[in-house]
Amino acid sequence: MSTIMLCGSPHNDGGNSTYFLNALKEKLNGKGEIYNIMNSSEISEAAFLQALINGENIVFSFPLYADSLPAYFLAFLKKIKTTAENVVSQSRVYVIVNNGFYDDVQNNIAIKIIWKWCDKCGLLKGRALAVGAGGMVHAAPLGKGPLAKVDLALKQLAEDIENSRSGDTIFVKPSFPRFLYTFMGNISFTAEGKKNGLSKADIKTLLK
Amino acid sequence: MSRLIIYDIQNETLTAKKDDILFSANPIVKPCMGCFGCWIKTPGRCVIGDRCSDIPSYIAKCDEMILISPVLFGSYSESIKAVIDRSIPYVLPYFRIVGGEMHHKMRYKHSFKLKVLFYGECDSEERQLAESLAQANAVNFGAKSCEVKFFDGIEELRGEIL
Repeated sequence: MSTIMLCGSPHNDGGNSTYFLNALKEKLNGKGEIYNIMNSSEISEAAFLQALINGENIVFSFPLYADSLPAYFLAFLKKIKTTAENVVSQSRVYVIVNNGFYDDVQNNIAIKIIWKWCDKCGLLKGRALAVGAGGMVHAAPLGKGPLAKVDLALKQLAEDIENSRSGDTIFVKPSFPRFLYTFMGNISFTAEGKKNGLSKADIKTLLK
Repeated sequence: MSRLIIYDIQNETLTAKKDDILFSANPIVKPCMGCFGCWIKTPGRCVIGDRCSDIPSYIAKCDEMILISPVLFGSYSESIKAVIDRSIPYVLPYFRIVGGEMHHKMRYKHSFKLKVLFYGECDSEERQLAESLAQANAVNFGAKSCEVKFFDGIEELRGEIL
């Protein structure tokens, strides 16, 4: 059975959220359709309804924004709640949340919000994957070096989806020391600012 | 004491004190696109350039920030969340460790009290979740304190801001 995958990232290309969905789709042998709700809210909503009717499992993937869901994604969930409430479905919901901080546990509030939404909609909960240190996701091919654990977590999630199983949240992050992650993150923001003609002091500007 | 009140109240007016800055979260502001422009292109100010772009500078000037929001799945409403998402230029892109977890460094030496007034129907799980979210935001924005209260409706919370 196919799986519907909804990306809640405001980025045009879906950023890390789409990256994880593509990786998951591959582990599901291509049995999944990815939609970006920012690009096509109506199409995503229609696909969501069809998935409920078909009893297909649903995966949400989104970045952590200010400790929870991006506003646009929250609005989307509010909108499709009515659709979900009116359909009796065996679809199960799975979640991938990624954040730019190092700590994977900071995704926990966002995951609980999704589970609360599931309760309100009467949808079955599957499993969530909480990914930290999002800045390292492209540091190596998935499954190699620092990305080995993340790959294993995605494999677990794919198995759960295939078998419509539920489970506790998997907290995972690329294997990389926090002090180095902090150091590299700080350097990269200064470098990005420099490309725009800004010094580190400019980046720290105080507005009047 | 200067206060910034960001509110999501449908079809109702809000009466506040003379020097309060009132910001209606409705109609919903454009969402943060995660472009980091507010950090690396126009530091401290969102590049979208609408009525929400001044919010970080309002925060930097207030002694207390009050959020008034209905509870939605244990979160703020989408309209309040849109304003919160657009407030990240208040902090710096650089990292620091707070309470053993990574957060952003503060842009300003200034700090404010955060008060969140939730209203509407919600169960105990939603209350707990909404409180956790407010507390987490308080840490991320370097607030000096965080107070969270729940009310059945708008009328009940009016006394809190007068």
